Amino acid sequence: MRLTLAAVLLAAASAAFAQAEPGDLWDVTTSMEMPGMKLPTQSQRVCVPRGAEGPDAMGAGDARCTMSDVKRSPGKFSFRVQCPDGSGTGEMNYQGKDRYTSRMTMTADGQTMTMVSSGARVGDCDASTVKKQVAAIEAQAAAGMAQMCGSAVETLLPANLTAYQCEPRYKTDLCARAGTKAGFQTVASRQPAGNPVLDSGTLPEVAKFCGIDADATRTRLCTEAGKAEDLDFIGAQCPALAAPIAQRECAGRSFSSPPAEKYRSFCSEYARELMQGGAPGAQPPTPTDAIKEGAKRLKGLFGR
Amino acid sequence: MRVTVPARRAAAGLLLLAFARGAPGAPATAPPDPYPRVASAYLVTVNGAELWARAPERALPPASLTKLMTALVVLDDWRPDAIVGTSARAASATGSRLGLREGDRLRLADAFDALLVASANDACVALAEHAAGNTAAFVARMNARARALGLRATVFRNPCGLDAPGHVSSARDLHRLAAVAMAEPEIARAVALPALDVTTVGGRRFRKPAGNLLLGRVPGAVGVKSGYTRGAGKCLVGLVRRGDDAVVVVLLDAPDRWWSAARLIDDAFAALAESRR
Repeated sequence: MRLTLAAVLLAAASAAFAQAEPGDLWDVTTSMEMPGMKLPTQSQRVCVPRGAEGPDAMGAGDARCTMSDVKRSPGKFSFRVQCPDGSGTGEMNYQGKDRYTSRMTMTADGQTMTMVSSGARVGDCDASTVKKQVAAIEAQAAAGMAQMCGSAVETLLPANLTAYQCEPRYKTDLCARAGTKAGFQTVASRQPAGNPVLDSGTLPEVAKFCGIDADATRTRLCTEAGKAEDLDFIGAQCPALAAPIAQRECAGRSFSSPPAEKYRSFCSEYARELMQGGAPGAQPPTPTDAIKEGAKRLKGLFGR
Repeated sequence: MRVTVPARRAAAGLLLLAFARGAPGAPATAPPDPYPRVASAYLVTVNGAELWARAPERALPPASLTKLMTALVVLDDWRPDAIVGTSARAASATGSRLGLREGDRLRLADAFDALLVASANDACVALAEHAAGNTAAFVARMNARARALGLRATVFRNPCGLDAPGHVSSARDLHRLAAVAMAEPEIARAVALPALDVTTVGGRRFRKPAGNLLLGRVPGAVGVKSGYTRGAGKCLVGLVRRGDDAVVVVLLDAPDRWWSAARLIDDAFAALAESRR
């Protein structure tokens, strides 16, 4: 028993030892400049895996970037770098093993940024810890990005998918959602608001983004809604289906003998549509416009 | 001799607030018309402030909304236990009727309730003749009261709201008229009754449901009056109170007045709730 426990402890220690990775601890001072702006000089202590090159050696690595055109010569290291947001070149000049200066230029969105650094080695470190931290940060960033992309899908706003550079699968998800009754209803009820992000979520823009035919999608969904007796969707999007139902369940009923419970909301909406000048689905429904405008007016009148 | 009941009038004053509670510093902008097909003319107010309207000054036949003025003039000589007789003319009144026969007699208060709850034209003519001797004299009093109230688009040609050339009012005037009427406890009480149950002196009993279908169907509905004639179309003044807030809807010539009124009322309260967020 004692022997077994010792073996386990030894194995755990070995595993921990095996995971440790030799690294160099550097004090790095960096200044950045871009047209019209110079950022304050920053100093930080970074642990760099032994043998790292290029941006990784400066503690400025980014897993999304790739190096190319690498040139090594005694005391000098130059490279090109390609990142999702832009590309650039860099050069490091070593003064011995413990000091370097570097200059890296990146161009993104038509703007060029220059980063000048100097580094001084101050000791050893365990790079595995840093790698774990970096991995954790990258995982956190990926999770945040996934959340933002998921939110763009949920809110049916294509502009946000583009802004967050979401993976193609999110576009697939968004377009699939726009093709459901709930999603279609959401985008079809939106009115242009003069805001590029919000306006990207209107029916014409979503249809364009997804490459779908809005009318054909509506027809398909109305068929589904008719089979499922989805009165909310029918009332809002399917005038051909709504009219006979309204005639049968709403218009033909007197106020003193109201329609069946399942039709009450439908009939109430129908009444509003008629009052506002159209049959259900005849135009993008804006049932809350009057209420919103009315609220503004009341705020003005009552000062609340 | 007018019988006044200060306490009840004070209570009714709260109802008046529903119509007339002004918005301090309210801008004089015309209310928008987001429901262009609801009626030939309409007005929706929230706590006295005009929220939505269409042609609120337009002179149109008001049908039996007229009877709010009839009731006001009857109250000028309020003797609830007085006996009102039924003339041949009253008994032959057309349209909505209680079913009085010539010679029937009933308490003035009962005739008054029949006027407002069942919109009974026979009771209306009987009351007018009782109050002024004849309908022409009564109508003169109605018009005098309209002028006194500043109802500029309102002219009455008969006491009950039957179609007649020049018998007109406007949504805004009718809102004002309803406000004044609802400040009278007897009117506020009568228009809130869900049904009428009166008996003549001779023992004939009449039971009628209230003409105002909002009562008991729309939460918070507390009155006031509906009307219909071929010339006027379907008309309504409705008051709904929820909490401390009140919405008044005036509809003139509204093809689907009950559904429309219910929707307008809900939308108006929704707008009020939204304005407080």
